[in-house]
Amino acid sequence: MNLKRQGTQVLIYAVLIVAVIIVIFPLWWTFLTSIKMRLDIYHDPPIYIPHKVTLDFWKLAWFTRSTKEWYRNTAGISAISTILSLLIGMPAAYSLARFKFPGRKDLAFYILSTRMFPPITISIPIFQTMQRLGFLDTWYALIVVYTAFNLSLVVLVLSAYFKEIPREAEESALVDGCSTLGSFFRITLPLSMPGIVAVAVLCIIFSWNEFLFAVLLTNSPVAKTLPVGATEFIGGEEGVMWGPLCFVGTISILPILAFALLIQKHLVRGLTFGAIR
Amino acid sequence: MFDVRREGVEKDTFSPACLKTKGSFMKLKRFYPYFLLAPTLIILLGVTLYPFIYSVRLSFFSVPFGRIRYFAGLENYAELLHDPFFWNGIKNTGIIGGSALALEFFIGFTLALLLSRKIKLRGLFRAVFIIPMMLIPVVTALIWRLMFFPGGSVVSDVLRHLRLVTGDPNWIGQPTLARLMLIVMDVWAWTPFIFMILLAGLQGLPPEPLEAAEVDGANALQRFVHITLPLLKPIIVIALLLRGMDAIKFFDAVYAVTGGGPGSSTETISFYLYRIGFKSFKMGYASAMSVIVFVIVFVLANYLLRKGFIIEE
Amino acid sequence: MRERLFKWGRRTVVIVLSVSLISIVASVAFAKFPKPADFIDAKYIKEYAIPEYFVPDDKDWVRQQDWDAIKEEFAGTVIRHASEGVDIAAPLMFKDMFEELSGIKVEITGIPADVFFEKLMMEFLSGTRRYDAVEFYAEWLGSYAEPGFLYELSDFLKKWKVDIADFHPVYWKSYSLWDGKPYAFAYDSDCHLLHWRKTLYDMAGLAGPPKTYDEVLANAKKLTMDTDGDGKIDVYGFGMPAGRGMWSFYYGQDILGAYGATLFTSDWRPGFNNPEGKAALKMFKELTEYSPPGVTGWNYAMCREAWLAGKMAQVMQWQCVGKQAHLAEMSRIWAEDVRHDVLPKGSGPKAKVAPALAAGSALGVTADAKNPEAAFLWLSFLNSAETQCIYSAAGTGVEPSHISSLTSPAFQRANPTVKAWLASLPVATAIPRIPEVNDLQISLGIAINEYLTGSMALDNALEGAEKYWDRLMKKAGYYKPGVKPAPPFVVADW
Repeated sequence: MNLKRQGTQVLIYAVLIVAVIIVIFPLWWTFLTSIKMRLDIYHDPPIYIPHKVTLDFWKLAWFTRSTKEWYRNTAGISAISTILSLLIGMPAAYSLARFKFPGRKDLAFYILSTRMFPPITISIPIFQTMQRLGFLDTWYALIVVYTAFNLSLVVLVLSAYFKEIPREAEESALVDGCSTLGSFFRITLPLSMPGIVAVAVLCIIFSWNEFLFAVLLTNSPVAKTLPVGATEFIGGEEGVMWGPLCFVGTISILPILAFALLIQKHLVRGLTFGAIR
Repeated sequence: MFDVRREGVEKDTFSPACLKTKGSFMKLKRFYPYFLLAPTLIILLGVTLYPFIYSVRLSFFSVPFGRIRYFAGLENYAELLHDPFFWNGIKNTGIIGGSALALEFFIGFTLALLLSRKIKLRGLFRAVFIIPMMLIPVVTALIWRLMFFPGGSVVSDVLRHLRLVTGDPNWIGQPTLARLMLIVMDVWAWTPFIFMILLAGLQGLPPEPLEAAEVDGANALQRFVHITLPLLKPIIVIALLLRGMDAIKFFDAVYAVTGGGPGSSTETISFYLYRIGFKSFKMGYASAMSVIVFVIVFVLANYLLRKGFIIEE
Repeated sequence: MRERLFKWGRRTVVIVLSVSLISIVASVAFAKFPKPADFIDAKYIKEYAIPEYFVPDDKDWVRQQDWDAIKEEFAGTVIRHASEGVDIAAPLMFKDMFEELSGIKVEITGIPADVFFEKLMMEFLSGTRRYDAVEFYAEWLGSYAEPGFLYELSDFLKKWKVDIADFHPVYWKSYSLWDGKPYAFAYDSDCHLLHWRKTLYDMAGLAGPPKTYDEVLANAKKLTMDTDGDGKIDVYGFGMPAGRGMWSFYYGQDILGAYGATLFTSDWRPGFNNPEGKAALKMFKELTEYSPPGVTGWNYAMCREAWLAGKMAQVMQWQCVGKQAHLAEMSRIWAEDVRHDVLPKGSGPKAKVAPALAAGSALGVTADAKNPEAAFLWLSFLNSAETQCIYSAAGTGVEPSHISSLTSPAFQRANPTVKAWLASLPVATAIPRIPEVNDLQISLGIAINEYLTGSMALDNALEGAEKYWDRLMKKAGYYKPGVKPAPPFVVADW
């Protein structure tokens, strides 16, 4: 019995390690490409261990282009729009999960339906609206758009997580004398932390990496984000400037990764049910 | 077992015991859920619905280069139905997006299950597995292109060393290989999405039902099928729906790597839409296409949901 | 008393006058004009024996202007320039010098290459008045000029005495003129050439350059070889971007012309669905069989990377990759004897030499610019004969269009493709600058690519493209009576 269990453990670890290698390798390749000499990037057979590396491309990307500004803009816009979508979306998700009211199914479906068409469709009307509002090339334009896009994600995913929590847990708190709001904060929120954290990470990732609206609604380093800035290394005579592009790609992951590492312990269930009873 | 019922409290109404009041205040309470939903709905109406309706209106006109030339009625739609590129786009989106979705679900679920157990370095694994989503999509696409590019392809090299292929597979020149390449790219980048949602769902499961079932003598498989899966159903459905709908917008990889080729074997509907709307600037035609795509997705999603999945109580 | 004052007064006047005279002379003498030595690596200055200036003073617009007067009038003006993503390096090089000369501050924004067209269109359509100067692909001239988004430049050209005669007529007609009036400056002046590695030719016992595509193909077969004896083919005989869409179109245009087909007949009907067109595309396909795998998915960047990595013996491409092959920091074949020639002709009765004037970029002033004249001065500066030589020799990939630039001996030394390039221009072909260009190019390009990848038969592909073009042109109104006939295929005849 023990041997079988050990065997299973080994198998599980093997699978996980293979998965890790597959996940990490392209990222490692990105980093490697950012420091390789230009001629080594295209080589048959591929060069896994370059004998000469350079930081020139890093310097080019960081000092001659507005990489710092792009970084700042992306971080700010992502953080703000994520917080806003969470604040606005959580009550809506709670409402859909807990209450029965006429039109519930239809409203939920309506929220889902806002994800059913390719965003290109509404890009031009949004551009024109933002122009009239004077929001072009400011943080406001992207914050508004990303908050709206993330809202449907927040509402739908969180309502599923809220539903996972049995009513009894909330109701026992209610009976113990607290308000609906109190039960929300004391019971529902902590128990659905894994879901909330997951959604927060997804919102940040989406806002961070979004391209179409970022490129249409921004122009200058005042508001340009990293994905748009990265494309300044693509096209024209050079084709693809791999060094700077990979550098931007690599540093772009770092903050999100740090954020995810910091909160990943909340992906675990916080309170246990036993503690409530 | 787990069914706690208290007298006097009806499970299915929204007026909890400590808030039951009478009279006009009671009437206001009825609108409570709507108040909670209102900000969301208003924002969505303004930012997505209103522009979409503008687009729908535009689909009934002929709008080359963004300037309205004449009222076209259903002309754009009729042309679309006869447009081989349109149907080709739908077909490719189905093949590439569908395969990618299936693989992402299978792999994501497996990984989530594995990591919901007690394993050493669990946290590290979890953090690592969500990284691929974080990389800027255009960089992801280009790096994979670099790794697949025939004549120096890392992927081909590795496969050769594993003795799975011989020679130099023509990833960008051969339709099947090109589609496979895009599927691999999408699975690498987006399995984390499903992984994360399912993992959080698994983490959020109450342990009591599972413990009770184990006490009652159910084995792992039975516990999985009869307890875990049903409890996870809303989350699975959401994950599939969301990722599925994003698959419809499959664009970045096509754009950066194949441009829709070889031939037109990797032109997804989103790319074709981009080609028409942004390269030829035929706004009316593009709007009509969006409307049809929307209708197809709408009908499909509606059907799936009504088959008794979410919002079923 | 009065005498003493008078003496001092006079002395002061003399001193003041001399000081100002000296400073005027000094400022003129030390005025910062763009000089090759400031921008080009010293080793290349030495290698190509580049003198102080590429072109003589009287041919360079920059050195002819009274910059002090300009500065007085325009100091403090700010203009905004939209540049294509990667090409931003070039204007960035010069903007400080320009500001010093003219007092005009230039803010440069890079727009990603792939969304360039649509982003500019959206800005124009919405009237945001965001940019004063824009860079755009020369083929979109019609798309921007026809709806009136560009400023008509005749008055400025006259006022500031720009030497129009120095622009090569082929580029002047195809990059600058629309409906007979100038709307843009040629910026990156492109042309397709055949680049080939004589070292490999010698190794295979062949004599070049090939004069017909049949020769190219025959040579390609012999040149596809294994050069390091490991049993694997590591050099292919030929290569060109043949990816879906634009790329298949551009190179299709070369080969179609070489066999005697055209894009349009004089009454705007498609001119490629005929025996010449079919022969041309058959050759195109045969050439891909002796090209590296993946060639039918290649865009410009992929082809360039393969060429510079030494994967093929001959390549049909723009001038830039020819020049770049000689640079050690970018190319693995820099030490070889790489040659550049005019593209070959096809075979058959109507065969001729007809390289394509494909892509290329131009600089224009926007119609609703806030400071059109300042923008014009900036663009004239960027486009001057000397500046353009410096651009090209500094390796930015931007190529000149002035006759004085192309005939400058120093420039010819620095850029070995110039002779073949000059020889190609009188017979070069181009697609007419109509707003429908994008759609036409992509649709034919897709059809050609379908044929090349084997997903469609040749006849079906050509017929499909012909039908699409017909419908498009009809809807756009080109088949109505009284419409001006299509310009001839060869630009020199425009």
